[in-house]
Amino acid sequence: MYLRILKKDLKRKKTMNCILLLFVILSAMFSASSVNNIITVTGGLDYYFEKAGISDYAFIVKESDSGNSISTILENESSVKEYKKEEIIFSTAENFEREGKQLADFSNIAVIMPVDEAKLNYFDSDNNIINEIESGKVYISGSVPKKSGLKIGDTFQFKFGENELTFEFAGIAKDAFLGSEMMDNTRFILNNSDYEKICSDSYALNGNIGAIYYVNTDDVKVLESATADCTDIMFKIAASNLKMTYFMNILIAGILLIVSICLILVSFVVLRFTIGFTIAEEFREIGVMKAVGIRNNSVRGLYLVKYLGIAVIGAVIGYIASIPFGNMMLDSVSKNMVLGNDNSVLTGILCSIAVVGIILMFCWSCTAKIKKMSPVDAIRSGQTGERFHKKSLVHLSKSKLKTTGFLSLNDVLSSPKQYGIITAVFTICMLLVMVLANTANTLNSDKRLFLLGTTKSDVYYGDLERVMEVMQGKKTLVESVEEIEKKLSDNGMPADVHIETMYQLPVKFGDIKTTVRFQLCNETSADEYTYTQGTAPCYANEIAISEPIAEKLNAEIGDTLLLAIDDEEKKYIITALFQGFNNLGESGRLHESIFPSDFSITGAMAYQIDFDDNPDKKEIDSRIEKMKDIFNNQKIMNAEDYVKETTGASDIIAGVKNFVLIISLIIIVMISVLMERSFIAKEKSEIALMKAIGFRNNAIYAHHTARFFIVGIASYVIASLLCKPFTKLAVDPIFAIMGAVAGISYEIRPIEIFVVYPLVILSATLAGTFLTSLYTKSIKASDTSNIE
Amino acid sequence: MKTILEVKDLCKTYIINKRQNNVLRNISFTVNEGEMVAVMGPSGSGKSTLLYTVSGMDKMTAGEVIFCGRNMASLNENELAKMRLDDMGFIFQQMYMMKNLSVLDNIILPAVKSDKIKESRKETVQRGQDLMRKLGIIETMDNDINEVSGGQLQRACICRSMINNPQMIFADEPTGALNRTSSEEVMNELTKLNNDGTTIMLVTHDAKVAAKCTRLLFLVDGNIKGEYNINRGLALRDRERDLNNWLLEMGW
Repeated sequence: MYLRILKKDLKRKKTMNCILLLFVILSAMFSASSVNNIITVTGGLDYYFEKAGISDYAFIVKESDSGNSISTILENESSVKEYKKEEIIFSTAENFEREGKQLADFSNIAVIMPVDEAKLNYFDSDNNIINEIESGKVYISGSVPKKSGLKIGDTFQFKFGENELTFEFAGIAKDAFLGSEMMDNTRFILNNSDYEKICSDSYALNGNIGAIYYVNTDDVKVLESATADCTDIMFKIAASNLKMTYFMNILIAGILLIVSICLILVSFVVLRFTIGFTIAEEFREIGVMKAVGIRNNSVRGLYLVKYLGIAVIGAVIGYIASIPFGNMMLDSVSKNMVLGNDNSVLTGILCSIAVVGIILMFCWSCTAKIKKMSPVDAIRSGQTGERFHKKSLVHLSKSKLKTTGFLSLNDVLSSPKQYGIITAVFTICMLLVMVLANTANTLNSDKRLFLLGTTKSDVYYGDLERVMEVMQGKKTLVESVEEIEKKLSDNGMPADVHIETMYQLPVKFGDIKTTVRFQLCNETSADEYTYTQGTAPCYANEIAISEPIAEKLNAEIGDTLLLAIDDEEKKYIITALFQGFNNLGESGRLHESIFPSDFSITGAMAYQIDFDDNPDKKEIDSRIEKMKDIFNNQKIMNAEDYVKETTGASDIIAGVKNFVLIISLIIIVMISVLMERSFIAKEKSEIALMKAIGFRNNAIYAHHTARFFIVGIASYVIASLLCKPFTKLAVDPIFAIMGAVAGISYEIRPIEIFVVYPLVILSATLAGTFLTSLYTKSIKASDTSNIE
Repeated sequence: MKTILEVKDLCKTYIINKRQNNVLRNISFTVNEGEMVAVMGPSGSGKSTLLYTVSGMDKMTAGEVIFCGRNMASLNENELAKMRLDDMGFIFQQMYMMKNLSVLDNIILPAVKSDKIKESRKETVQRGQDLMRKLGIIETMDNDINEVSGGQLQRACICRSMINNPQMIFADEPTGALNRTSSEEVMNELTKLNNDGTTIMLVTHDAKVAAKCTRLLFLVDGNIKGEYNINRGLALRDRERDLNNWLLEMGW
């Protein structure tokens, strides 16, 4: 008999059962894919580093004949367990051409390496280790393949001194050391014979030969101390810090985690509501069954069997759907990483089983009400029973609203729980989009220039080739700057040019010995930069250091450090602390009156150009275009583009934001449609009554749509109020990883944040609700006689 | 006397599982202004269907229904809705009300929705309160609908049906869900309304209720089997007795 009751129930309550099934599918899909992603992403970096064979510490050095070479130090240092060396050649974008044009803009210096010299594992796009490369072919890591639009089989030219070689693009290489968004040093991995051909031009090689050392050590601090005086080092990083260079992936993974957790929350909240709602709708049947003498447990069992059936079907479909959905979400993280989760199938199945379990648990708790329901509930049909506990909060007799507006407002206020849940879901979705947009806009804004340790200029001109010339001693820094100034003047754009240079300097403070990357610009004053504490350095013996360095050295403002500039050790007083993104926040600033030798420059920011005639933005942008032709370089940009280019994050975050926006819209539309449909099923008698007393169809559509409009507006108001604190709460830790430890002010663009996105979300909500409300047309006024 | 409702050869057919069910078969009758017409008949005879079809709540399959001179077949859904809002009042067996509104708000809802009577919200509220006072339920004004008795709720439904001064009230077993006392109270109110000039057509199973009307249509299998004029000049008990005798003749 139970089977017959069940069959009848499934048939008769088709709509609600289908809605429940859809929510179960969504829950299983979201939870299976999200939990899988959480497992994959949280352990992903360790997995990748292990697979790649990353060591505890890594150094990039340039070849020199100094006695204090890195290899000598590593050989003699007792804390070093083992080390591996990869021989490399440094090159820049100017060396690569395709169809007569530069292959792509390189963010940083590129390295060229023979495959046989590889000491790490490099992976192709299918995550296979690259062991062999045919002559004439090359694997490329980093952002260049994407920037250049190279496809497998495409060819390009490599010009290095007298040599000109044509290479065929063999595919992308996943490089755990240099391939992160932040490092983005392109690595060209090629055949040994090709590498030897390149090395045949000794003049071109001058100053361009280097090596990467991967060191396993017992004590990172001791190793840092031991190598502090080594002047060959261009860059060094501990594995723990290297992980931080994957902050973009961590950031996206973090966003993915937030989205996943939100999705799980949303699906279970909605599921709990729907189960409670459907069981409340069945009070009459429950009452009748109790009236005819069926025991509580039997009635409860009947519903448990029904929900078990729905849950199992939904979980199976949800699990199948979770596979492509999870892959789609993970795609943004796994492009330049090897991510692994061998137990994804098992995890998915376990999650789906968990969904079934949770549904039954919800069902068990919801059906607890069965005990309280009496046969009277059935007799009264709920029309005059204790079902209605609420008092109407607003009164038509006292209101100035028209009927549609009033009824909608009254419905929302009278059912705070059900509309509260929808409001919460909409608020979460809106907040997610707002926070991501704020993050992307903040990273885009030229107001964040100070975090790059640079001042505002009209134009920023990134030219690694020129900087390399200075570093190789082919030109002085002054000559390099004057050359640009002359070229600009010759083309009718007289301007002042300056550049922020970097120096990797040995620092001693008490027992602590390390190297710190210092920035210096002789053309600007130290007080033009932003500091979090103290005052800008005023004299040559004063410096500012970043907060993470102060913490590392355990030093404070007023302390004196020993700094070796051009092998001359002197005392410098710390007068200020600052924060910034450079070198993951670990840097210092020298006073402008110091002039280290050009040879000790280890890097530089872009050349900054300030035109003499103070042109407006439009004119600057037009000059930028002219300069691109004059200098045959595309990396000439205004302040905003420079921030965008340097942080390299905003586009990715914008991409994630759009992805989250689409996911949010899908969730919102689905919830609006399913909720509205369940409301229609629940309110059939009221809709019929409204029609009977003369409400037109349009008035009923408006009434139903307006309720979601009110919910949407409430969500908008809450999300707008929470937007700023929530952005700070969620994104401050991410910026802290990047180096902005003292927190930053966020760029909130009101039109975009408070108008465009809410409008898009609200429109999707209203469209979904309105289209669903059209179903009320099928309810006739005469249905008042058929309602149970 | 002016004819308010004219029904000619009305047919209503339902198709359920590909089977045709002729619920109303060529029904014709008229209702004049000031009349109170009862429709009786066995279960499944088509009483409620007749009421819903002639009031424009349900579509007819064939025939003609002319209400206040307008052929309902020629009206679109919006025009029918306006007609129901402005010119008709409805009372149902189950006291359907908007559950999130107070009793007074339920009553004035059609008036606020309608633009038939040009008045302020305050005046509408005043009219609603007057109606409630007249039907003796003014004390329930601010109550929620779960806080009042079935009889009070049905009287509130009568108030709602009256709020737009309709040409005619349609009632589907208005006392069907009420106890005897409440039933009598509700019928007394409907009779008073009728005496004041409101035309009423009601469906009932109860001869006591029908005896308070002016005319009775007896429906069997979708046809009007008989029509009985009730003499309101007689005492109620005599009317009931005569009506019961007639109903017995009809096979009731």
